[in-house]
Amino acid sequence: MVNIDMLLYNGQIYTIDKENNVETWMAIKDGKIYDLGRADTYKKYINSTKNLIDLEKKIVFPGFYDSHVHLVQTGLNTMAIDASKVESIKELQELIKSRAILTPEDELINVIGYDEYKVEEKRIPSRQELDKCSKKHGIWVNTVEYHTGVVNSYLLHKLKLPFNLEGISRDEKGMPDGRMYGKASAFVRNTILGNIADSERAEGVFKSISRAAAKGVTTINAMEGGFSFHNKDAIFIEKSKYDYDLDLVLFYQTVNMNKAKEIDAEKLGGCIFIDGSFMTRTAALKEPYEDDKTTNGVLYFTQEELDKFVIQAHSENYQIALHAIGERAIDQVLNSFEKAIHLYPDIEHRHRIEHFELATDEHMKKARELNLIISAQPSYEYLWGGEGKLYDIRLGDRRFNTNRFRSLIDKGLLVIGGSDSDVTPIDPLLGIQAAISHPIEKWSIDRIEAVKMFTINAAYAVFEEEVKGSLEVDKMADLVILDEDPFKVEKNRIKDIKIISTIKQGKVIYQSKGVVI
Amino acid sequence: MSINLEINLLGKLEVKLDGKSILDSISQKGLGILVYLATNNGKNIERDQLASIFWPDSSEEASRYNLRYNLWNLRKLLNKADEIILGDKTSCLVASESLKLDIEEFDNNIEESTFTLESLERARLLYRGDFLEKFFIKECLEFNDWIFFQKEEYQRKYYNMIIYLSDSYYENREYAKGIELLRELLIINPLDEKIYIKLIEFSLAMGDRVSAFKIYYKCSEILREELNISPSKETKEAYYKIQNYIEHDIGVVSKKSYDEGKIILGNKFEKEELEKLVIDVQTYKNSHSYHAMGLVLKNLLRAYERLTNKDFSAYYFMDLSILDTSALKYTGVENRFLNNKKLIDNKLYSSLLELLTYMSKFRNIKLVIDDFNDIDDESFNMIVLIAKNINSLNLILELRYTRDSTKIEYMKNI
Repeated sequence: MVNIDMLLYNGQIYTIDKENNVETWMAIKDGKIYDLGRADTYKKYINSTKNLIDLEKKIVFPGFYDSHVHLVQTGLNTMAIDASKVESIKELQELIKSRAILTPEDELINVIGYDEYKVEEKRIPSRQELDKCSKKHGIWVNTVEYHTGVVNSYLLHKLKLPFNLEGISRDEKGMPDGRMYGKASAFVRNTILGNIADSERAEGVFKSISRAAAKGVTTINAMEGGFSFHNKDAIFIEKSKYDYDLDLVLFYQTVNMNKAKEIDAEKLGGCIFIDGSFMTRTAALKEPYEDDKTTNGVLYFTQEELDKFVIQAHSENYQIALHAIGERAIDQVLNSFEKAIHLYPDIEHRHRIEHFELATDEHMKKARELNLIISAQPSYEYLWGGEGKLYDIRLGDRRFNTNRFRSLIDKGLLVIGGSDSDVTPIDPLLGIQAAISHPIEKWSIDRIEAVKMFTINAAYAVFEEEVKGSLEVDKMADLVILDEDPFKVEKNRIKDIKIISTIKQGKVIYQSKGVVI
Repeated sequence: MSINLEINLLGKLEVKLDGKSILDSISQKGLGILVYLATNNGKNIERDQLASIFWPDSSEEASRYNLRYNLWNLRKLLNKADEIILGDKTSCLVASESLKLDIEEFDNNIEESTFTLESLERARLLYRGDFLEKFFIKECLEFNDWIFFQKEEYQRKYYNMIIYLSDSYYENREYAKGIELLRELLIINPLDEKIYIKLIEFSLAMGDRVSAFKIYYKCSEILREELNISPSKETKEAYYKIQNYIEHDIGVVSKKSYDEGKIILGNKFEKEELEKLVIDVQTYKNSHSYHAMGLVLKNLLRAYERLTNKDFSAYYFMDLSILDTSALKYTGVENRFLNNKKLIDNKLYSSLLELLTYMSKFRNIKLVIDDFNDIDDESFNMIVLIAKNINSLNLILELRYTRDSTKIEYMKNI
């Protein structure tokens, strides 16, 4: 007689297998699914089961994937001061002051999400204003999306800024006023992130991972390193990826093949920024921005440079994921992929385009021909879609054609879902809700399609569909138990469904308070 | 009176009395005061001013007391109290004749009206690093700002001096010396493209294309990683210069010696009057597929652009566009791709050969491949094809190598 580690019965188990079978019980042994079935056929295992669990009609799904997470940054930011809600510089100063009291001398106080358009003064604070909060800590205030940074005197003096670096804002005496733009901002960012100890990374990552587990996530695609992040992040994740309860799949955000080889990375990209973002009007649009006709965004690569990287990485069997938001960036990415794939057609590449927000029908058609995977972030629509929101402000009427999930799927593309954390929170149920309730009704997709974005499709997108992504015999016992059925509750309540428990390879990694499994 | 106090500010602070370091015997603020007085040498500094710079958060009484105490300590330590630190109740200064200060020497050496290359070299050695590197007194904001200001001043002076020095070395054809200096500036600012451009120019002047390429790649790598940008227009122009770099006097300019490794295939040019086209491409270890071929094609296309007879078949350009999209310009059609590598390779090889044949009607072509031993496989096949057809082409093929390989062996036996 076989010994079963855990037997879940009397539930509603959505397997998300090819036939979308729904079962009522599941037997787990050695971290894998041993058997599944309906009605009382489980009874044959009762006597040989260590842990027998009555699901009491609760819902079971395959453990969720989040296919796009900047994990180290998310982690570090859990320890930063969130200034996204402050309404004045004075309020910011108070926040920093009270943090400084609790922070050992000489440590960094990191402030994120400061939005100068939201504060009374309509400006970024100065170095002197930050000095009033503390002279004994480094203070670093970042604006939304890390475009601009301000440092206090303590940091200014520690940074080794080159005198001729562009982007250092100066007062009438020629002294830096602490505000760093463009190249100076990038320099400061690199220096500070480079000085962060791995112990801090670990602390942040552990925190973020336990939060992700509480949202039903069992696998994370960690997009690490590169511009606006730090290569040490990628090295850290590669080194420590087996230390966590969840599976981490590293994507190294570099176009430098030597760097990738140093840590034996197999997947490149995530946010290799081909263009920027809507927020900062740097996504490369075809036509100018609605609220600033002087710009249509930025392409960070020439076609030639991108070709060179993509062809080489493709020929060497790397999986590539490229960030492309605006039409011009998508054009460029498709061109490079096309060249590489036609030169080496026999490689099973599973290359991905991340975001793909403004893709046209032609883009989708081309992407399908090339067998590319689309990595979307449905929560963007939840946050930025609809009248008066970010897409409307930046794009005007073009907002009616962002993130067209319905078209993507109808054109035969494989679509996966992610959060782009910490742009939006790691929360697959929110993502599922956002995908089925697109502000533009006709782009919404069905519930089962949305669920697949965060399960079996996502597994395929990292070559794991044989072992994860659905609940089938011999696959890993990665699952999430939900209080209510996402296929049945009202659309706008999916995000509020309570996660009862998250199980990774048969081990409970999260359970909500009051529940004992 | 003999000089017995030495203070070095460029780099990490050094304070020596009679040749011995006394850094550990002075408090952080004492050092600050000493340095500040020494730098403002000859000027009277008000005691009140000093007190408020170094004890900004204390009461007037406390700060004056602290200042008195620190000055007393300094006097005691420096032993010759009144000779080095002078002053009454309102002001104090360091007597200049007792003091050796590196910035003073530095400034003298770069003095505009009197400097020489030798004096600049002396100044260069004095610059051990940033002004008061890592010296910092947390609560003394004004003092720290003063350090910062001085730091930038001396960086600027040093930078200008190095540029001047390296330019002089360039004129004197002492390129290696110039390169060494310019590299020091990259330590201060690794994002400064002007310096990379200069380094490329210097390397090319030495005939060292390999280093020039390496500098360019280093520059694009760091810009990509730190700023996610491509090199500027100016830097790219420098890159094209490396690509189009033509040896005017073959065999002399190149710094790297290929004396032992050279395979030359092809005959003398029949029509001496034709313009000469030298294409010299550099290969690298692990260069990507088609790398060398791609460079050959790029150069051919540039030369083609300058031809008066541009009637090479658009059909071939179609095939070549896989390798270099700029070939499309002559086809008048949109890009279309084949999806079979063998078929592509065959088409590429034959089209490139056709283009070479066509071009060689108008030009005496010399095709040089540096470090042929590192060539990628696809380009190697192309070269074999050219070699086999060399008699029907107006072309000389020169393959240079630094070590033997099966590819070299193969070519030798053609």
